[in-house]
Amino acid sequence: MSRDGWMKKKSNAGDDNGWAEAGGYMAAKVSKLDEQFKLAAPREKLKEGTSSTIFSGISIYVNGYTDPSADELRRLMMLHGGQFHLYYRHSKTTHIIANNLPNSKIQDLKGEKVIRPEWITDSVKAGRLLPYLKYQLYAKGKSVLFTGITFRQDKNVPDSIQTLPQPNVGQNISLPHSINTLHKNVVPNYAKNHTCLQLQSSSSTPQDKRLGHPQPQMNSLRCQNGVDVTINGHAKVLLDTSHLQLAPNEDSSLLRKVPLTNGHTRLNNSALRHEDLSSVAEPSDLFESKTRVPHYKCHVTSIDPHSKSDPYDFPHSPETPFEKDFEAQDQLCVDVNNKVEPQTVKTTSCPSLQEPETSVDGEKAHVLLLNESYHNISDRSSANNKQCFTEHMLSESSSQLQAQTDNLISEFYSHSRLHQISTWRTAFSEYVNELHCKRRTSGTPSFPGKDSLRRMKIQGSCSRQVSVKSCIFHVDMDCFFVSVGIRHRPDLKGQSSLRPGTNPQLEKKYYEEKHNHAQHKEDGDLHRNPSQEGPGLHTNGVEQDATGLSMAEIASCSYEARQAGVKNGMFFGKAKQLCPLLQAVPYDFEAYKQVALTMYETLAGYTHDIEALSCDEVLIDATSVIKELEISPHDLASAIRADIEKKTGCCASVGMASNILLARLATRKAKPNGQYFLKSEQADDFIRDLAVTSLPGVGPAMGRKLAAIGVKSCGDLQQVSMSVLQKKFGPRTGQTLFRFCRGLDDRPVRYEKERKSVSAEMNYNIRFTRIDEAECFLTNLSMEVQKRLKVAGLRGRRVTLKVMIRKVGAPIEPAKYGGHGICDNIARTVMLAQSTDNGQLIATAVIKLFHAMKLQVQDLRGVGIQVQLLDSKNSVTQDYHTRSIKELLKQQGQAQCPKADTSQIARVMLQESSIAHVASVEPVPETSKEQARITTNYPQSHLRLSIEVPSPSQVDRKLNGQISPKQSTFSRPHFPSPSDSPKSSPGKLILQIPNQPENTGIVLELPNFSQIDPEVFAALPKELQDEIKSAYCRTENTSDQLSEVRNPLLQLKQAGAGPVRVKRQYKRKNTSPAKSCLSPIKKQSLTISPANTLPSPIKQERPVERLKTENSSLKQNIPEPTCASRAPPALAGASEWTDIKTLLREWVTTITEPMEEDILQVVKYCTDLIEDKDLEKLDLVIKYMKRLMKLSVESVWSMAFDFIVDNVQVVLQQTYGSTLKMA
Amino acid sequence: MTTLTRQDLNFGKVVADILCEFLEVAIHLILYVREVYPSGIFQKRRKYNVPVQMSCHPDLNQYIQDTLYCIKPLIEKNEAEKVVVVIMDKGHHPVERFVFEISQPTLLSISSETLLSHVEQLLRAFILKISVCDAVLNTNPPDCSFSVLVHTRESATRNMEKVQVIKDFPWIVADEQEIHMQEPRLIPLKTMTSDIVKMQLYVEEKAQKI
Repeated sequence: MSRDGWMKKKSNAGDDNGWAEAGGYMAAKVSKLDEQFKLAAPREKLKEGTSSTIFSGISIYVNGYTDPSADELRRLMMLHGGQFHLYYRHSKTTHIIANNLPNSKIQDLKGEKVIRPEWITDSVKAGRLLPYLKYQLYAKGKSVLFTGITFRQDKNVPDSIQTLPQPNVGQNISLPHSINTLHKNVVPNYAKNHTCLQLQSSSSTPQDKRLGHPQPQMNSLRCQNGVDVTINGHAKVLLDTSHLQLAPNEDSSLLRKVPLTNGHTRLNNSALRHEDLSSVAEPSDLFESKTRVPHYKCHVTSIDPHSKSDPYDFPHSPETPFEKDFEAQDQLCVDVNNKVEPQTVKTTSCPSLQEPETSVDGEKAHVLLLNESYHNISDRSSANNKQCFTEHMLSESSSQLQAQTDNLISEFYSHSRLHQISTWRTAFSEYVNELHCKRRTSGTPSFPGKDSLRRMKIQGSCSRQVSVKSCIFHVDMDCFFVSVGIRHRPDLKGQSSLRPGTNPQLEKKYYEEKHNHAQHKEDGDLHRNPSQEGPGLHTNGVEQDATGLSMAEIASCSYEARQAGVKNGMFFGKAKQLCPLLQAVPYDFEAYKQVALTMYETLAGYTHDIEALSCDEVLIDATSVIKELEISPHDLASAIRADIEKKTGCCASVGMASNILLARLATRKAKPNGQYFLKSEQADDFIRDLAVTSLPGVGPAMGRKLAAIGVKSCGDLQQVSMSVLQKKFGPRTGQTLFRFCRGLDDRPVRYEKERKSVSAEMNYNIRFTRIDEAECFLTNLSMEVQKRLKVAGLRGRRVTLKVMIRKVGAPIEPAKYGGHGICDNIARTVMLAQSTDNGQLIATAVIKLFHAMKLQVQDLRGVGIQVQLLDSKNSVTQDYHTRSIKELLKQQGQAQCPKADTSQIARVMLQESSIAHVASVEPVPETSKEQARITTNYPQSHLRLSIEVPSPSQVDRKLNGQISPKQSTFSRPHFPSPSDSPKSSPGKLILQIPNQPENTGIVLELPNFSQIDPEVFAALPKELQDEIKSAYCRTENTSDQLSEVRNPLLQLKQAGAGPVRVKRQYKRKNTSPAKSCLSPIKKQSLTISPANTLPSPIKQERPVERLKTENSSLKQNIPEPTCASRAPPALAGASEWTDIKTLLREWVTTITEPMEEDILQVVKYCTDLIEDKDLEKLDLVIKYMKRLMKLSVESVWSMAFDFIVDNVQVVLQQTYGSTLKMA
Repeated sequence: MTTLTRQDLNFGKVVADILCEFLEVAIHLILYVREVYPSGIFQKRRKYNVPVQMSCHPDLNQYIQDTLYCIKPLIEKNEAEKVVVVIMDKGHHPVERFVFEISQPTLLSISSETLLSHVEQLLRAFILKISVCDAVLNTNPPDCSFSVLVHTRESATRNMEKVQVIKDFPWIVADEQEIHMQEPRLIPLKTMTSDIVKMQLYVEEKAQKI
C-alpha cells in the first residue's frame, strides 16, 4: 500500500524504472542529485557573475512543463541559493513549481504549495523573495468551476524575459503608471505571444508596453496592432506594433489539457462574478481597468503600410511589462523594463513568428462600463482573448469537476447574459401583460404618445387619411445591439456616415460561440495540431488563416458592414477578411436592457396592443389607434420612430401591413431606419418575388426541401397545392406555408403570449466522463427547468430530452473550446402522466430517456430539457381538477349537509357535467344487502350501496368544514371509465357518509387516487381526512358487493394514465404538511373472497388469527427484481422491486388505515404479477407486506393484508391450481 | 437493438441448448437438495460459476440426459410450457413439484443484455435458489422417486408421438395420479426475464407430506 503510494508519486516524477523496489536506489539517486546540485551551484554562480541567497531555504520541485523550463529554474535556484529537487520529496520540498497541473495532481498535492514559476523569476527580478501567495497556481478551497475561471494575471511577460538567454535581472524598474491601461496576458500558458505596444504618453516618454497577449490555440498567431490610443486626453498611447510571438518550444496542445486553475481564485471578485459564462466569450470583462476613462478611442493607424513592415522594430524598443495586481484590484503596477537586449528579443521574436503581412486593421480598444467594471476590449485581441479564455475555461472545466458542481447550471444561466437577453422577450411580454393588467385595474391608461399625436393632429401637422381596416405595425430596431453599442459614440457614427460603404463599421458582439461545421472542419487541423506547427509555419499564409479562425460570431452588424458582405452569425475572422475595417463593440447588457425598455415604454405610450417578439422587435396592432386618431399609418409610424429615436438614440424601422406576416416582410423593406407600408393590394406582387426563406418559419432546412421541389420564391410556392405542402411538411406547416406565400396570416397580435415550452439547454462545456456525472447534470438541468416552470407558473406534461452527441469521427475536442463541435442531435420525448413542475420528476423521466438512448457519456456535447404541453399551475388545480366539481359542491353543499345529517348515508353523485345528486340512503344493515342504491347516473356501478362523492380535490374546503366529522366519512373520487371523463377529471364521485364507524356494510367505492389532488386533500379538515383514511379499512365488509362490481372496477383500472400520476401524487402528498391520507394508489382487480362477506366484527378478528399463524413465512425475502422488458406489471408506476418496497412501506407506515382503493391496487398488482408469471415477485410482495403488517398495530392493516392475500390466493388457485404457501 | 424472429440464427436452438443445459444442472441439484437419492452419488461440480451437485450414477444421468434430449426439440419450437420435476412418495403420489415455467417471446430482440453472460447470471440465480430451497420446503418422506413431466402446448403431443427422438424412450402421457396433488402449496422460487426467454421456477408442495 505504502509502496504503491510511493511509486505513484514517483511515476509523477516521470520515471519509474523498476528500480523503485530496490528501495535504496531512489534515496541514493536523490542524494546524489543533491550533491550534484550543490557542486554545480558555485560554478554556475561564477559563470553568471551575479548571485544571491534570496531563495535560501527554499526547495522547489518542478512539476510538469513550466515556463521557464525546469532547467532554467534549476539554474536560477542555483544562482540564488535555493534547492532544486528533481524528485518530489514530501517533507523537504517546500514549493512545487508548476504552470499548470491536471486535476488529479492537484488532488494529490493537496496541501502543498504549488506556485507558478513566475514567482521565482519575479523574485529574482525583485532581488528579494516575494510572497508566494500571489503566485499560487490555485488557491485552496477553490471550488466553483465558473467563478474560478478568471484571467490569470500576466506573469508571463517577466517570464519570457527571464527565459531569455540573458535575463534582465535587476534591470526592471517598477513604476506606477498613470496610463492605467490594463493588459493582461490571458493565457500565459500558451503564450509566448506578446503584443508589444509602444506607448507615447503625454510626457512624451516613449515607453514600450509589452503586453502579454493571449494566444488562442487556433488563430491568434499574429497580432500587429497599430493603434492610437487617447486616454483622457492626456496620454497618447501608440500601440505601435504588437507582435505575437510563438515560443518555439511551446507545446500548446499539451498545455491546453492542463487546467488553468492557477491563481484564478483571487480574481473572484464581484465584477468577475457577473461574468456570464456563455460569454466567456467575452473576456473583455476581465480586462478590468481602473481607468476612469469611459472609453478611449483608438484610432486605427495601422492601415498604413509602414506598420506592416514595422514589426521588426519592436525588439529594439524598450519593453514595459504591465502587470496588474488583481488582488488589489485597483493597483496597477507597471514594470518598466527599460533595457532589453535586442539580441534577446530577437530570440523570442524570431522572424518566422512574425507576420509582417498582416493587415493591421482597425484596432479599437474600448473601455466600457459593464457590470460595474470597466472592460477593455481591443477587437482582435479580445477576439483572441476570448478564444483563449474559452479555452481556458474548457481546459479547466473539462478536467475539473465541471458538471459535477451542483450549481453549475444555475450559475451558467444566472451568468449567461445571452441567456438573459433571450429571456427578455418573456420579460417584455410580461411587461405588456402588466400594462394590460394596469389598464384593467386603473381604468384609462395614459397614452402620452397618443396624446401628443392627437395634439399634433389638432394642430394640423398630420394629414388626415382614411384609416385602413386593420393595420399591424412591426417595429424593429435597426441592428439593435450595434445601435445601442454606439449610441453614445458619435465618433463611430460619424465615421460611418462620412464614409458609408467604404469604411463600413461593424460592431459585433461576441455571442455564445457556436460552430459552423464547415468552418470547423476546415480549421480543425490547424487547431488540433498547434504543437506541430513549428514557428516556421506561422508565416504569412497562416496569418491569414489565423484571422479567419476567429470563431467569435457576429451577433449584429451595422448596415454598413452588411454592405461589405458581413452577416450576422458570421465568424468574426471571416468577417474581418471581408471587411478589414470591422470594429467590435463589446456587449453592454445594461444599455440593451435600458434601450429595450425605453422602446417598450415609448410604444406603450401609443397603445397597449403590443406583442413582444424580442427585446428589439415588437408587433403593434395599430388599428384602433389609427381609427381613433384618424391619422395615416405613415404618420403614426414616423411619430413612433421619431419618438423612439429621440428617447433611445437608436433608430427603428417600421413595417406596416394588414397582417403580421406582411408587416414583418414590410419591415425588411423599411430597413434601415425607415418605414414601409405594404398595402394589401400590393401584397401579392410584393410577396411573389420574395424568396421562400424570407418567410418566417422557413429556415435553411425547409428552404432546401422546398428547393428540392423546385420552389424558390413565394411565387413558386403559390403554385404548389396545399395538399402537396401538407403531405410534405405536415398538415400544419403545410397550411401555414400555403397561406404565408399568399401573404395571408390571420394570427392576431397576442398581447399575452402563452408559452409553449419551457426548456433549459446547455451545449457548452459539456464533457462528462462518467454516467453519474451526466445523471447529476440532468438532475441539475431538470431543477433549472423546474425553476423556470415555477417562475412561469407552469406545469408541463411532455418532457423532451435533447442531446447533442459527438458525431462519429468528429474530433474529440472541437475547434472551439467547450464548444460542441460536430454533433448529432437526438431528441427523445416522454409523456408524463400528469403535468408537473417538479424537477425531480422531470429528472427521473429524463434520466430514463437518457439511459434508453444508450449513449457514450464521453461523447455528450449538449443537453437540453424541454417541457411542453404546458398548462398554468392555477388551471391545473382549478380547472383541471376542481373547477366543475368544486363549484358544484359549493352550490350543493348546503343541500347536502342537512341530508347527510339525517341519513346514515348520503350519496352524492356528480357527473362531470356538474350535476350533483344528493340523496339519502337507508341505514345500512350489516349484510349491506338491503342498501338501496340511489345514484341514478351511474351505469357501471353495481354497488348496491354506494355514496358517490367528489374526489377530495374537488371537495370544497368550506363544504368539508360544514360537514361534521361524524357525518362525512370519506370522500374519494371514482372513475367510472375513461370515456366518461375525457378530461380525466372525475366523472362521478361517490360520497359516502355513514354516521357510525361501527356501521358495517358500508360500501366505499374508493375513487381512483390519481384524480386526487393532494394539495386539496391536504387542505381537508383533519377529521375528514381521518375518515377518508378509515374508509379503506371498511372495504372488506362490502367485498361481496365489490365482487359483484368486479368488472366495473376492472374497467376503472384502465382509466387514464393511472400509475405514474398516482405515484407522483403520492410523493407530493408526502410533502404536504397536513399529511393527507392519500396512499399510493393501486389498481385492483377484485376477486370474491368468502371472508369478505363476514360481518365486520368477525372479520376483524380473523386477520389477527391469520397473522399469528402466518407470521413465520418470511424466511426468504431475497429481492431479485427481474423486470420484464415489455410492460412489466407495475404498482403505481413502480415495477422495480425496490420501488415497490418503498411504496408499500410508505403506504403502510404513513397511513393509519388503508384505503380500499389502495388495497385494490395492490391486489391488482399481485394479479398482474401472477399473470406475468412472476411468482417470485409476488411472493416477495406478499412477504414484505406481511412483515410490514406485523409492524403495524392497526388491525385494519391486518385485515387489508388478509384481503389481499385471499384475493391473490384465489387467482393463484385458478391459475396454478395451488395456493401460495404462507408459512 | 435487432429484432429477430425465431427462425433467424436458429435462435430457438440456442435457447433450447441454454435451457436444457440449465435444466440438467437444475434437475441434478433438485435431486440432491431434496434428497431423492443419497448424497453419496453426488459430486460437487462447478456450473455458472457456482458449486452444484451432480449425480455420478450413470443410469440416472442417462435418464436425465435422455429426458432433456427429448425436451429440447420442444423447447426449440417453443412448445414446452412447463418442465416439471415431480418428486413422489412411495405410493407415487407427488409431494413436490418443481415447475419450470418457460415462455419464450415470439420475437426475439437481441440487445446487449442478451449476451449470454447476462442469461448465465440469471440462471445462476436459479441454481442458487434451488440449492437453498430446502429452507422453505418441508422434509420429504423417505423413499421418494422422481419423474420429469413436460407440459406442452397444444398439438405438440401429436408430433411427439410421431417423432421419437430417442429410440425406446418415448413420451408418455402422465398419470393423473402423478399430476394431481392434494392441497398444493405454492412456493415461488425464482423468476427470470431476459430477452430470449422468460422462466420462472416455483415449487408446489403437498401440504401434508407424510
